Amino acid sequence: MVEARASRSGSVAGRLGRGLLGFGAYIIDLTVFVLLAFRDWAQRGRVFNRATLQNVYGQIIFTGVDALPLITFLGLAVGLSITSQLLKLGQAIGSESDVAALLNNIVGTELSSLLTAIVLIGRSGSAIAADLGYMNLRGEVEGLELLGINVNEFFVTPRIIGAAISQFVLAVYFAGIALFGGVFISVLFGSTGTSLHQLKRMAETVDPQLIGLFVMKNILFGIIIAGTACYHGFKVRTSPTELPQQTQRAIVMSLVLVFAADGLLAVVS
Amino acid sequence: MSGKAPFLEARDLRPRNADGSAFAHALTMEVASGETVCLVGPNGGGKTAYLRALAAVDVPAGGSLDLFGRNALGLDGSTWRALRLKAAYVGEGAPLLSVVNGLINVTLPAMYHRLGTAPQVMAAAQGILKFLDYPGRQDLLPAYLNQHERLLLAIARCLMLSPELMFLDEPFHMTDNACREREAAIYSKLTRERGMGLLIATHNLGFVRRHADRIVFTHPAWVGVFAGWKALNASDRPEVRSFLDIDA
Repeated sequence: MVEARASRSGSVAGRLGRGLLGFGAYIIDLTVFVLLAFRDWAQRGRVFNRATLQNVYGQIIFTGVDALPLITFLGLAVGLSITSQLLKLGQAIGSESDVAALLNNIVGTELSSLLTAIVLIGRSGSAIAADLGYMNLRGEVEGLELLGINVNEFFVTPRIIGAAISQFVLAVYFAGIALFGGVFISVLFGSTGTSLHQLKRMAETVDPQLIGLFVMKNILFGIIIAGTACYHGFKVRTSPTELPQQTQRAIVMSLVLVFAADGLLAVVS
Repeated sequence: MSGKAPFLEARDLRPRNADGSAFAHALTMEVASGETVCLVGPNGGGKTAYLRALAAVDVPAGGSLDLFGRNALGLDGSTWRALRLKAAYVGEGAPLLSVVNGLINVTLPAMYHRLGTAPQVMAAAQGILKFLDYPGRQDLLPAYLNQHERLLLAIARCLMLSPELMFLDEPFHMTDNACREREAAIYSKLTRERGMGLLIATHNLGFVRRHADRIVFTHPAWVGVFAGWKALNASDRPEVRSFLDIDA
């Protein structure tokens, strides 16, 4: 009985250990994949060539511009629910500047970055993985390689750069909509003690370090989302059944990595 | 064959099987300017594997391969990519980039390699499409084109890079007789007018009979090179006779 329990716990520990080692190897592999893509891009001399620049524009339009209506809706929803609630709650327990700092931290940097990243993972991460997987499966990627085109430079780097720019801009937009929208709605519905003066107070309490962290975090999120999607897209090789499997893995791993990176940045900052 | 150095020179080349092991039979051959070499044989005989190894697309298990007088094996990434501009490869089904239209597919490699300004590249693309007598629409995505049109676009985007050697895997696949005739005329023009060397893996024996300067016969049990259709037909190898149905 005791032996069986020990063996069971050993098997659980072994499985956990193997899982952690596998995750570590995955992170290293993914990091090397992204670094190699950037190395190939940097080796070309000029920042972008005409063919790859079109891919960056395309990615920004798909990931950034096309996501604007959804981000606007989510920003307003967060403004209506969370910002206005925090305003009410904050006024009951602290000063106006405490409320402003709270809103800047929670809505302005945390929620805006995370919710934007979740939208991008669902919309763009899955699309990139499926798109590249399909192209790889049909031999389109190899067809370009055989024309002397570096697929890292042509497919991967433009998608990562486009996603990073889009993630950052959309997070700024989200934060603006959620904060302005929340304060505006609170004023509109006559919430006690709330005025548009709150916006000025929020601007005054913005910490430069917080801005730096916000920029870094969102660029990192964009790199994670597109890098993971490209990595899994290129894993589709032979069978169409690999396509949904890799797309699903890209989504799950992007979510895991984005939340892990967010937690890590919160701890070290 | 002309007195010039051959474009391609393979010695005891053995491709790899899917499991990484070496093919049982080695291939030794040359391809010079203006030559059409066809790879024929039954399904599973290794036509595609030999073609990919000859094109330096796949790393062979053994032997040597010189393309344009230089060793083409073990190249670093940038040298290999530079080689691809001179040695074009059109894979089976002529896969084009599905997310852009036909014309962009043709201009894209030249734009990537910065072979001219946008108007110059566009003019060159139109010139090549005219040379190929491309009958389809250029503004459609590849999914809306037929196989013959897709193949011509795949050849056109290779020609944009002015290659000297072209490898084609099953180019006549899924095309009717009229299209096959037009394609055969194009290959003939490429060798005659442009002096290109062509290596074509095909089941189209009518084309092989009329156009092949040399024939590589690949079979799981044997691989050999023949100096044209007559030599292939005169072979007493049982694999060849069975493939051509000579004794039936």
